[in-house]
Amino acid sequence: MILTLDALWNDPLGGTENNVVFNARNLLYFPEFLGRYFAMGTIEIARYTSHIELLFQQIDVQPWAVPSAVVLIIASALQVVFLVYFLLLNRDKEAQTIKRLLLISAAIVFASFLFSIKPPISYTFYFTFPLILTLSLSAYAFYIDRWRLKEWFSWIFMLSILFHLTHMLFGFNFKSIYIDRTGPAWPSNIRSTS
Amino acid sequence: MTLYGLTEKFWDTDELQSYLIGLCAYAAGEWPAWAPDSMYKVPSRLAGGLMGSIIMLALNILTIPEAPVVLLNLLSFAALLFLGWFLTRRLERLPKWLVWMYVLTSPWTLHFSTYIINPSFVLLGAVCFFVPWMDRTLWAGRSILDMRLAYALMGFALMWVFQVHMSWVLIGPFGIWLMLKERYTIRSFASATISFLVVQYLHPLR
Repeated sequence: MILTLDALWNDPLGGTENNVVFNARNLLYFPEFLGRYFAMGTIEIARYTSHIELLFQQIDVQPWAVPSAVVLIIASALQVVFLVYFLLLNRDKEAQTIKRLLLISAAIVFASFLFSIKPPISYTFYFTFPLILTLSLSAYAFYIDRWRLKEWFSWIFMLSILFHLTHMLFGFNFKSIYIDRTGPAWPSNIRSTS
Repeated sequence: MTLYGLTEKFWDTDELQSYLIGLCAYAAGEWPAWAPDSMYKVPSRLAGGLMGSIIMLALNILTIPEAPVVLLNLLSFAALLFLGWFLTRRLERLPKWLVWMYVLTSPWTLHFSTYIINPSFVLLGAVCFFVPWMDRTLWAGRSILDMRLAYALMGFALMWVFQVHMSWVLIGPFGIWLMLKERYTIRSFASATISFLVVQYLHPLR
Protein backbone atom coordinates (compact mmCIF):
# COMPACT_ATOMS: atom_id res chain seq x y z
CA MET A 1 0.00 0.00 0.00
CA ILE A 2 1.22 3.50 -0.68
CA LEU A 3 -0.16 6.82 0.37
CA THR A 4 -1.57 8.50 -2.72
CA LEU A 5 -2.18 12.15 -2.17
CA ASP A 6 -3.80 12.87 -5.52
CA ALA A 7 -7.33 12.49 -4.22
CA LEU A 8 -6.46 14.39 -1.09
CA TRP A 9 -5.11 17.40 -2.99
CA ASN A 10 -7.34 17.44 -6.04
CA ASP A 11 -10.77 16.61 -4.68
CA PRO A 12 -10.65 15.59 -1.03
CA LEU A 13 -14.40 15.83 -0.44
CA GLY A 14 -15.68 14.87 -3.88
CA GLY A 15 -17.69 18.07 -4.18
CA THR A 16 -19.80 17.23 -1.12
CA GLU A 17 -18.67 20.51 0.45
CA ASN A 18 -21.14 22.18 -1.95
CA ASN A 19 -23.97 20.64 0.07
CA VAL A 20 -22.98 22.82 3.03
CA VAL A 21 -24.87 26.09 2.65
CA PHE A 22 -26.74 28.25 5.12
CA ASN A 23 -30.35 27.14 4.74
CA ALA A 24 -32.75 29.15 6.91
CA ARG A 25 -35.71 27.43 5.23
CA ASN A 26 -34.96 24.33 7.33
CA LEU A 27 -36.15 26.28 10.40
CA LEU A 28 -39.68 25.64 9.17
CA TYR A 29 -39.11 21.90 9.60
CA PHE A 30 -38.51 22.12 13.36
CA PRO A 31 -41.77 20.50 14.60
CA GLU A 32 -41.51 17.80 11.93
CA PHE A 33 -37.86 17.22 12.81
CA LEU A 34 -38.62 16.84 16.53
CA GLY A 35 -41.27 14.22 15.76
CA ARG A 36 -38.91 12.35 13.47
CA TYR A 37 -36.04 12.55 15.97
CA PHE A 38 -38.08 11.14 18.84
CA ALA A 39 -39.71 8.55 16.56
CA MET A 40 -36.33 7.09 15.62
CA GLY A 41 -36.17 5.44 19.03
CA THR A 42 -39.61 3.86 18.66
CA ILE A 43 -41.12 0.88 16.85
CA GLU A 44 -41.62 3.18 13.89
CA ILE A 45 -42.67 1.51 10.65
CA ALA A 46 -43.43 4.74 8.80
CA ARG A 47 -40.14 4.30 6.94
CA TYR A 48 -41.74 1.40 5.03
CA THR A 49 -44.62 3.54 3.91
CA SER A 50 -42.48 6.18 2.19
CA HIS A 51 -42.73 4.51 -1.24
CA ILE A 52 -46.42 5.11 -1.85
CA GLU A 53 -46.71 2.91 -4.95
CA LEU A 54 -45.19 -0.09 -3.18
CA LEU A 55 -47.35 0.60 -0.13
CA PHE A 56 -50.58 0.34 -2.12
CA GLN A 57 -49.24 -2.74 -3.87
CA GLN A 58 -48.55 -4.34 -0.49
CA ILE A 59 -52.00 -3.46 0.85
CA ASP A 60 -53.47 -5.02 -2.28
CA VAL A 61 -51.47 -8.24 -1.94
CA GLN A 62 -51.48 -8.53 1.86
CA PRO A 63 -54.65 -6.88 3.22
CA TRP A 64 -54.42 -9.11 6.30
CA ALA A 65 -51.17 -7.33 7.30
CA VAL A 66 -52.88 -3.95 7.57
CA PRO A 67 -54.20 -4.35 11.19
CA SER A 68 -50.72 -5.11 12.60
CA ALA A 69 -49.29 -2.14 10.68
CA VAL A 70 -51.99 0.20 12.00
CA VAL A 71 -51.42 -0.95 15.60
CA LEU A 72 -47.66 -0.43 15.24
CA ILE A 73 -48.13 3.06 13.81
CA ILE A 74 -50.38 3.98 16.76
CA ALA A 75 -47.90 2.38 19.19
CA SER A 76 -44.96 4.38 17.80
CA ALA A 77 -47.02 7.60 18.06
CA LEU A 78 -47.75 6.72 21.72
CA GLN A 79 -44.03 6.19 22.29
CA VAL A 80 -43.34 9.71 21.00
CA VAL A 81 -46.06 11.04 23.35
CA PHE A 82 -44.38 9.11 26.17
CA LEU A 83 -41.03 10.83 25.48
CA VAL A 84 -42.71 14.24 25.57
CA TYR A 85 -44.42 13.25 28.85
CA PHE A 86 -41.04 12.12 30.22
CA LEU A 87 -39.44 15.42 29.22
CA LEU A 88 -42.16 17.59 30.70
CA LEU A 89 -43.36 15.73 33.76
CA ASN A 90 -40.63 13.47 35.09
CA ARG A 91 -39.19 15.11 38.22
CA ASP A 92 -36.80 12.25 39.08
CA LYS A 93 -33.30 13.55 39.88
CA GLU A 94 -31.60 10.80 37.87
CA ALA A 95 -33.70 11.63 34.83
CA GLN A 96 -32.35 15.15 34.51
CA THR A 97 -29.15 14.09 32.68
CA ILE A 98 -31.17 12.03 30.21
CA LYS A 99 -33.62 14.85 29.60
CA ARG A 100 -30.80 17.36 29.12
CA LEU A 101 -28.99 15.06 26.69
CA LEU A 102 -32.19 14.39 24.76
CA LEU A 103 -32.85 18.11 24.28
CA ILE A 104 -29.26 19.18 23.59
CA SER A 105 -28.66 16.35 21.11
CA ALA A 106 -31.87 17.27 19.26
CA ALA A 107 -30.72 20.91 19.22
CA ILE A 108 -27.30 19.94 17.84
CA VAL A 109 -28.74 17.78 15.07
CA PHE A 110 -31.33 20.37 14.11
CA ALA A 111 -28.79 23.23 14.19
CA SER A 112 -26.53 21.27 11.85
CA PHE A 113 -29.35 21.22 9.29
CA LEU A 114 -29.22 25.00 9.12
CA PHE A 115 -26.04 24.39 7.14
CA SER A 116 -27.38 21.58 5.00
CA ILE A 117 -28.89 21.83 1.55
CA LYS A 118 -31.17 18.90 2.48
CA PRO A 119 -34.20 19.09 4.80
CA PRO A 120 -33.96 17.07 8.04
CA ILE A 121 -35.55 13.82 6.88
CA SER A 122 -35.01 10.82 9.13
CA TYR A 123 -32.42 8.82 7.20
CA THR A 124 -30.15 11.85 6.94
CA PHE A 125 -29.56 11.69 10.70
CA TYR A 126 -29.70 7.88 11.00
CA PHE A 127 -26.19 8.24 12.45
CA THR A 128 -27.76 9.32 15.76
CA PHE A 129 -29.91 6.15 15.99
CA PRO A 130 -27.84 4.49 18.79
CA LEU A 131 -28.06 7.69 20.84
CA ILE A 132 -31.80 8.22 20.56
CA LEU A 133 -32.44 4.48 21.09
CA THR A 134 -30.40 4.56 24.30
CA LEU A 135 -32.12 7.69 25.57
CA SER A 136 -35.57 6.22 24.85
CA LEU A 137 -34.74 2.98 26.68
CA SER A 138 -33.29 5.00 29.56
CA ALA A 139 -36.61 6.82 29.84
CA TYR A 140 -38.55 3.52 29.95
CA ALA A 141 -36.31 2.33 32.78
CA PHE A 142 -38.01 4.84 35.12
CA TYR A 143 -41.46 3.36 34.51
CA ILE A 144 -40.77 -0.32 33.92
CA ASP A 145 -41.94 -1.36 37.40
CA ARG A 146 -44.64 1.28 37.82
CA TRP A 147 -46.48 0.75 34.55
CA ARG A 148 -47.20 -2.52 32.75
CA LEU A 149 -44.51 -1.84 30.17
CA LYS A 150 -43.18 -5.41 30.05
CA GLU A 151 -46.54 -6.78 28.92
CA TRP A 152 -47.02 -3.88 26.52
CA PHE A 153 -43.64 -4.42 24.89
CA SER A 154 -44.20 -8.20 24.67
CA TRP A 155 -47.28 -7.57 22.51
CA ILE A 156 -45.55 -4.88 20.47
CA PHE A 157 -42.54 -7.10 19.74
CA MET A 158 -44.79 -9.95 18.63
CA LEU A 159 -46.73 -7.65 16.31
CA SER A 160 -43.51 -6.14 15.00
CA ILE A 161 -42.08 -9.57 14.17
CA LEU A 162 -45.34 -10.52 12.45
CA PHE A 163 -45.29 -7.30 10.44
CA HIS A 164 -41.67 -7.77 9.40
CA LEU A 165 -42.34 -11.37 8.34
CA THR A 166 -45.16 -10.21 6.08
CA HIS A 167 -42.93 -7.42 4.80
CA MET A 168 -40.22 -9.98 3.99
CA LEU A 169 -42.70 -12.08 2.06
CA PHE A 170 -43.81 -9.06 0.05
CA GLY A 171 -40.26 -7.87 -0.54
CA PHE A 172 -39.16 -11.29 -1.76
CA ASN A 173 -41.81 -11.28 -4.49
CA PHE A 174 -41.88 -7.61 -5.46
CA LYS A 175 -38.67 -5.70 -4.80
CA SER A 176 -35.80 -7.99 -3.84
CA ILE A 177 -32.78 -9.24 -5.74
CA TYR A 178 -34.82 -12.41 -6.52
CA ILE A 179 -37.28 -10.80 -8.89
CA ASP A 180 -34.68 -10.93 -11.67
CA ARG A 181 -31.75 -13.30 -11.45
CA THR A 182 -31.03 -13.45 -15.17
CA GLY A 183 -28.91 -10.28 -15.47
CA PRO A 184 -25.65 -10.58 -17.43
CA ALA A 185 -23.64 -8.70 -14.82
CA TRP A 186 -23.86 -11.11 -11.89
CA PRO A 187 -20.50 -11.84 -10.24
CA SER A 188 -20.48 -15.49 -11.34
CA ASN A 189 -21.07 -14.47 -14.99
CA ILE A 190 -18.32 -11.86 -14.82
CA ARG A 191 -15.88 -14.41 -13.48
CA SER A 192 -16.75 -17.02 -16.12
CA THR A 193 -16.34 -14.57 -19.02
CA SER A 194 -13.23 -12.74 -17.82
CA MET B 1 -31.35 -10.19 9.64
CA THR B 2 -29.57 -11.45 6.53
CA LEU B 3 -32.78 -13.03 5.25
CA TYR B 4 -34.59 -9.76 5.87
CA GLY B 5 -31.90 -7.81 4.02
CA LEU B 6 -32.12 -10.16 1.05
CA THR B 7 -35.81 -9.41 0.67
CA GLU B 8 -35.37 -5.65 0.81
CA LYS B 9 -35.13 -3.24 -2.15
CA PHE B 10 -32.42 -3.93 -4.68
CA TRP B 11 -33.39 -2.45 -8.05
CA ASP B 12 -33.99 1.19 -7.02
CA THR B 13 -31.44 3.81 -8.14
CA ASP B 14 -29.59 4.30 -4.85
CA GLU B 15 -29.47 0.62 -3.96
CA LEU B 16 -28.28 -0.38 -7.41
CA GLN B 17 -25.62 2.33 -7.53
CA SER B 18 -24.22 1.27 -4.15
CA TYR B 19 -24.06 -2.37 -5.24
CA LEU B 20 -22.55 -1.54 -8.63
CA ILE B 21 -19.68 0.46 -7.09
CA GLY B 22 -18.50 -2.76 -5.44
CA LEU B 23 -19.36 -4.98 -8.39
CA CYS B 24 -17.41 -2.74 -10.81
CA ALA B 25 -14.42 -2.78 -8.47
CA TYR B 26 -14.64 -6.57 -8.28
CA ALA B 27 -14.97 -6.95 -12.05
CA ALA B 28 -12.14 -4.54 -12.91
CA GLY B 29 -9.98 -5.51 -9.95
CA GLU B 30 -9.50 -1.85 -9.07
CA TRP B 31 -9.78 0.03 -5.81
CA PRO B 32 -13.15 1.82 -5.58
CA ALA B 33 -12.04 5.38 -4.80
CA TRP B 34 -15.54 6.80 -4.42
CA ALA B 35 -18.72 6.07 -2.50
CA PRO B 36 -22.19 6.89 -3.91
CA ASP B 37 -22.99 10.33 -5.22
CA SER B 38 -24.96 12.89 -3.31
CA MET B 39 -27.09 14.36 -6.07
CA TYR B 40 -29.31 16.71 -4.10
CA LYS B 41 -29.21 19.82 -6.34
CA VAL B 42 -25.39 19.80 -6.40
CA PRO B 43 -23.58 16.87 -8.11
CA SER B 44 -21.02 15.40 -5.72
CA ARG B 45 -19.57 12.09 -4.57
CA LEU B 46 -18.44 10.89 -1.18
CA ALA B 47 -14.69 10.27 -1.10
CA GLY B 48 -13.41 6.91 0.05
CA GLY B 49 -13.44 3.29 -1.02
CA LEU B 50 -14.72 1.66 2.14
CA MET B 51 -18.20 0.69 0.96
CA GLY B 52 -17.04 -0.50 -2.46
CA SER B 53 -14.17 -2.48 -0.96
CA ILE B 54 -16.47 -4.27 1.52
CA ILE B 55 -18.74 -5.33 -1.36
CA MET B 56 -15.69 -6.30 -3.43
CA LEU B 57 -14.24 -8.30 -0.53
CA ALA B 58 -17.51 -10.18 -0.06
CA LEU B 59 -17.66 -11.07 -3.77
CA ASN B 60 -14.06 -12.24 -3.64
CA ILE B 61 -14.85 -14.55 -0.75
CA LEU B 62 -18.08 -15.91 -2.21
CA THR B 63 -19.01 -15.35 -5.85
CA ILE B 64 -22.76 -15.08 -5.42
CA PRO B 65 -24.87 -11.88 -5.62
CA GLU B 66 -25.96 -12.30 -1.99
CA ALA B 67 -22.41 -12.24 -0.60
CA PRO B 68 -22.23 -8.45 0.09
CA VAL B 69 -25.56 -8.61 1.97
CA VAL B 70 -24.24 -11.41 4.17
CA LEU B 71 -21.02 -9.52 4.98
CA LEU B 72 -22.89 -6.27 5.68
CA ASN B 73 -25.21 -8.14 8.05
CA LEU B 74 -22.26 -9.67 9.88
CA LEU B 75 -20.83 -6.17 10.42
CA SER B 76 -24.20 -4.73 11.50
CA PHE B 77 -24.87 -7.69 13.80
CA ALA B 78 -21.46 -7.22 15.45
CA ALA B 79 -22.32 -3.55 16.02
CA LEU B 80 -25.71 -4.45 17.52
CA LEU B 81 -24.13 -7.04 19.83
CA PHE B 82 -21.78 -4.32 21.09
CA LEU B 83 -24.67 -1.88 21.58
CA GLY B 84 -26.85 -4.54 23.25
CA TRP B 85 -24.02 -5.57 25.58
CA PHE B 86 -23.44 -1.94 26.55
CA LEU B 87 -27.13 -1.25 27.16
CA THR B 88 -27.69 -4.37 29.26
CA ARG B 89 -24.73 -3.32 31.42
CA ARG B 90 -25.99 0.24 31.73
CA LEU B 91 -29.76 -0.13 32.00
CA GLU B 92 -29.95 -2.72 34.73
CA ARG B 93 -33.51 -1.78 35.63
CA LEU B 94 -34.75 -3.02 32.24
CA PRO B 95 -35.10 -6.78 31.64
CA LYS B 96 -32.37 -8.06 29.33
CA TRP B 97 -34.87 -9.66 26.94
CA LEU B 98 -36.53 -6.28 26.41
CA VAL B 99 -33.24 -4.54 25.60
CA TRP B 100 -32.09 -7.26 23.20
CA MET B 101 -35.46 -7.49 21.46
CA TYR B 102 -35.56 -3.71 21.09
CA VAL B 103 -32.01 -3.50 19.72
CA LEU B 104 -32.29 -6.44 17.34
CA THR B 105 -35.84 -5.99 16.01
CA SER B 106 -36.25 -2.22 15.93
CA PRO B 107 -37.55 -1.19 12.47
CA TRP B 108 -34.64 1.24 12.11
CA THR B 109 -32.29 -1.69 12.74
CA LEU B 110 -34.01 -4.02 10.31
CA HIS B 111 -34.69 -1.53 7.58
CA PHE B 112 -31.30 0.12 7.31
CA SER B 113 -28.20 -1.93 8.12
CA THR B 114 -29.47 -5.10 6.45
CA TYR B 115 -29.42 -4.35 2.70
CA ILE B 116 -26.97 -2.72 0.35
CA ILE B 117 -27.36 1.07 0.33
CA ASN B 118 -24.88 3.52 1.79
CA PRO B 119 -26.81 4.50 4.98
CA SER B 120 -26.85 0.78 5.89
CA PHE B 121 -23.08 0.98 6.42
CA VAL B 122 -23.53 3.86 8.90
CA LEU B 123 -24.74 1.68 11.79
CA LEU B 124 -21.32 0.19 12.64
CA GLY B 125 -19.69 3.63 12.73
CA ALA B 126 -22.59 5.14 14.66
CA VAL B 127 -22.40 2.46 17.36
CA CYS B 128 -18.59 2.76 17.56
CA PHE B 129 -18.97 6.50 18.08
CA PHE B 130 -21.96 6.77 20.38
CA VAL B 131 -21.28 3.86 22.76
CA PRO B 132 -18.00 5.38 24.03
CA TRP B 133 -19.46 8.89 23.72
CA MET B 134 -22.42 8.02 25.94
CA ASP B 135 -20.15 6.10 28.26
CA ARG B 136 -18.26 9.33 28.91
CA THR B 137 -21.19 11.76 28.99
CA LEU B 138 -24.38 10.05 30.15
CA TRP B 139 -22.46 7.87 32.59
CA ALA B 140 -19.51 10.18 33.19
CA GLY B 141 -17.30 9.08 36.07
CA ARG B 142 -18.63 5.51 35.84
CA SER B 143 -17.19 4.57 32.44
CA ILE B 144 -16.88 0.90 31.63
CA LEU B 145 -14.71 1.41 28.53
CA ASP B 146 -11.02 2.21 28.79
CA MET B 147 -10.33 5.84 27.79
CA ARG B 148 -7.84 4.93 25.03
CA LEU B 149 -10.20 2.33 23.61
CA ALA B 150 -13.07 4.84 23.72
CA TYR B 151 -11.16 7.48 21.74
CA ALA B 152 -9.78 4.92 19.30
CA LEU B 153 -13.35 3.74 18.63
CA MET B 154 -14.53 7.30 18.05
CA GLY B 155 -11.62 7.96 15.66
CA PHE B 156 -12.42 4.71 13.85
CA ALA B 157 -16.07 5.80 13.61
CA LEU B 158 -15.06 9.06 11.95
CA MET B 159 -12.97 7.22 9.36
CA TRP B 160 -15.85 4.79 8.75
CA VAL B 161 -18.80 7.17 8.45
CA PHE B 162 -16.78 9.76 6.49
CA GLN B 163 -16.62 7.28 3.62
CA VAL B 164 -20.23 6.17 3.53
CA HIS B 165 -22.59 9.00 4.45
CA MET B 166 -22.73 12.79 4.69
CA SER B 167 -23.92 12.52 8.31
CA TRP B 168 -20.26 12.22 9.36
CA VAL B 169 -20.36 16.00 9.93
CA LEU B 170 -22.46 15.35 13.06
CA ILE B 171 -19.37 13.84 14.67
CA GLY B 172 -17.99 17.41 14.78
CA PRO B 173 -20.39 18.99 17.33
CA PHE B 174 -20.75 15.82 19.41
CA GLY B 175 -16.94 15.38 19.42
CA ILE B 176 -16.38 19.02 20.41
CA TRP B 177 -18.93 18.61 23.22
CA LEU B 178 -16.91 15.71 24.63
CA MET B 179 -13.59 17.49 24.09
CA LEU B 180 -14.81 20.53 26.02
CA LYS B 181 -15.98 18.23 28.78
CA GLU B 182 -12.71 16.32 28.96
CA ARG B 183 -10.07 18.92 28.18
CA TYR B 184 -7.14 16.67 28.98
CA THR B 185 -7.99 14.26 26.19
CA ILE B 186 -8.10 16.73 23.29
CA ARG B 187 -4.74 15.52 22.04
CA SER B 188 -5.73 11.85 21.98
CA PHE B 189 -8.95 12.54 20.12
CA ALA B 190 -7.23 14.83 17.62
CA SER B 191 -4.45 12.32 16.97
CA ALA B 192 -6.94 9.49 16.45
CA THR B 193 -8.95 11.68 14.07
CA ILE B 194 -5.97 12.78 12.00
CA SER B 195 -4.49 9.30 11.76
CA PHE B 196 -7.73 7.76 10.54
CA LEU B 197 -8.31 10.56 8.04
CA VAL B 198 -4.88 9.81 6.59
CA VAL B 199 -5.66 6.08 6.46
CA GLN B 200 -8.81 6.94 4.54
CA TYR B 201 -6.67 8.08 1.61
CA LEU B 202 -4.55 4.95 1.44
CA HIS B 203 -4.97 3.23 -1.90
CA PRO B 204 -3.59 -0.17 -2.84
CA LEU B 205 -0.55 -0.22 -5.10
CA ARG B 206 -1.34 -1.76 -8.47
